[in-house]
Amino acid sequence: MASLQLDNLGFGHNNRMLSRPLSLEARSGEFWAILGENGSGKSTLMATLVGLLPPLQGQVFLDGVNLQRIPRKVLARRIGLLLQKVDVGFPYSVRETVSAGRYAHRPPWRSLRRRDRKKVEQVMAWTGLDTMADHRADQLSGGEQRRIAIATLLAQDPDTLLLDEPVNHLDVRHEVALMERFHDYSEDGRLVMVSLHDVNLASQYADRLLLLYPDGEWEAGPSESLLTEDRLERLYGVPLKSVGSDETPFWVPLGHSKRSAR
Amino acid sequence: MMIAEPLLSHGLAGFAVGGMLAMAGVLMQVLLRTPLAEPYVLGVSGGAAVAGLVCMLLGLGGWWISGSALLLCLLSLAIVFYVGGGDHIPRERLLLTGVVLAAGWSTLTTFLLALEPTSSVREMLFWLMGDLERSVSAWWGVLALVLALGGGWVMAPALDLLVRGDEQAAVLGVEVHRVRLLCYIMAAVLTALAVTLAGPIGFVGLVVPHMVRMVVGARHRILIPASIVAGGVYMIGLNAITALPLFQGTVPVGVLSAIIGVPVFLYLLRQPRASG
Repeated sequence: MASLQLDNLGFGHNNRMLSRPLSLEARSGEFWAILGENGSGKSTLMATLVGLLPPLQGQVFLDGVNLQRIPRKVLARRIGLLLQKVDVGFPYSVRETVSAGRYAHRPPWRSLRRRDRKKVEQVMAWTGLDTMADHRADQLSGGEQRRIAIATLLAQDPDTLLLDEPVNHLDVRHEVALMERFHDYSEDGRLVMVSLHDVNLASQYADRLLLLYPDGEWEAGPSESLLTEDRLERLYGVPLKSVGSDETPFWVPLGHSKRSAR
Repeated sequence: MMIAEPLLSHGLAGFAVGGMLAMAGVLMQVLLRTPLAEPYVLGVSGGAAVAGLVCMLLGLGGWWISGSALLLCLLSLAIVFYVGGGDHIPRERLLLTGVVLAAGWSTLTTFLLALEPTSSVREMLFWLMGDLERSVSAWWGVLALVLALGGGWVMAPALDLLVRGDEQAAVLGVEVHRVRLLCYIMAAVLTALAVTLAGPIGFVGLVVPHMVRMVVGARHRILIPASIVAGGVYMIGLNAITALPLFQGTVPVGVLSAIIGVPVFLYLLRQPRASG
């Protein structure tokens, strides 16, 4: 079980905060989506939550312990982050690349144990990489590299998963499989936080939302209460309208031509 | 006996120098995340060469040379890092930093040679072009290699992660600053010792790890020992070629190494690798 507490957290680069300080708690079993325009700080927030960037103010606590005090190896067993880009310029195989996810689970002088290898094979099968396990990872397509990054995170097997735009570059098939997989993870009692730019993916999977508005304000809470027309217009700067049923709402942006119909 | 003994120490020095340069290359390639990194190309050997020449000019020998060479290696590598390195900085900037640094050291070297009485300039020139004849105390090189091998064994899994970039490595559990610092010191020590033993021989650290990767793959647990052995054998081979009657000992090892290394470097530069 994990709880990630943001206590008056200011995040950003070079002392410039990207939003008003955040205070919220995310717990195991929850599926969070972070929504906001490009540049609203979704990636920066993720990097701060995994300790890559120091908070500009306030703190992040993992189960009550200040994140900055946790050794990287211990932290890696608890929190995983899917970065937007993985760039390995050396001729590693897909299997070797994915195996990196097991680094934190063994002392450095040990080779991979049987259960590490089993985990690696398992996640490669989940992500459809098993057929290319011996191919060179650096020669694959963008979507395949993406799946390697995802498989690495799954091999890492943390109980808190931070995913920065996980479905970029993915075909619909892999997109759905991936979101379902992470949804299952949250149902199994892990904490999943995903940054997305697709409102509909968020409304479909997330039970909690963090909205990062362009003016630096933010709101967090259950998704059904936050997904409203005026909030989304404030978030994206264009009106969005819900079509479809109440159970499965589908949000479409309205262009100028359709605005009069509103 | 009279012949066998110098041959043995010669071979030992050659092996140690080749192994150290190859290992230094592997470490710099991890630190800077490109297979193009190498002590000579990045101007690190150049720093050690200047240190060596200054010591020769002042008539200082032995540990003075190694110590000052180490200092200038550390300085050169630090400059390349802080000006050219980083997670999101294109490798062209890194290479340019190294090349400019190498050019700077080279100018200084020429100046130092001009200061020297003509009698010993030829000898110095030969040392600068890579010359195993001056080899002393090759056992220090062997000792450094053994330590590097052990350190490399323990660090290998972390190195496999570091080549993905600092952020990725940190997220996956590597104490990035600690491992980088160790790599940095090891790379500088190996380069300094290699240059002290045999002059600034270039491209061994580029050619050898590249060839080895093509055979055994990129995993450092295999790459490091294989590169050390291959580097040692490669250097002995180069040395044997320069000793052929055809050349009558007129071609220094460094020249031969460059003849092979420059095309390999240009080939690697043309590789359509995602920049990083």
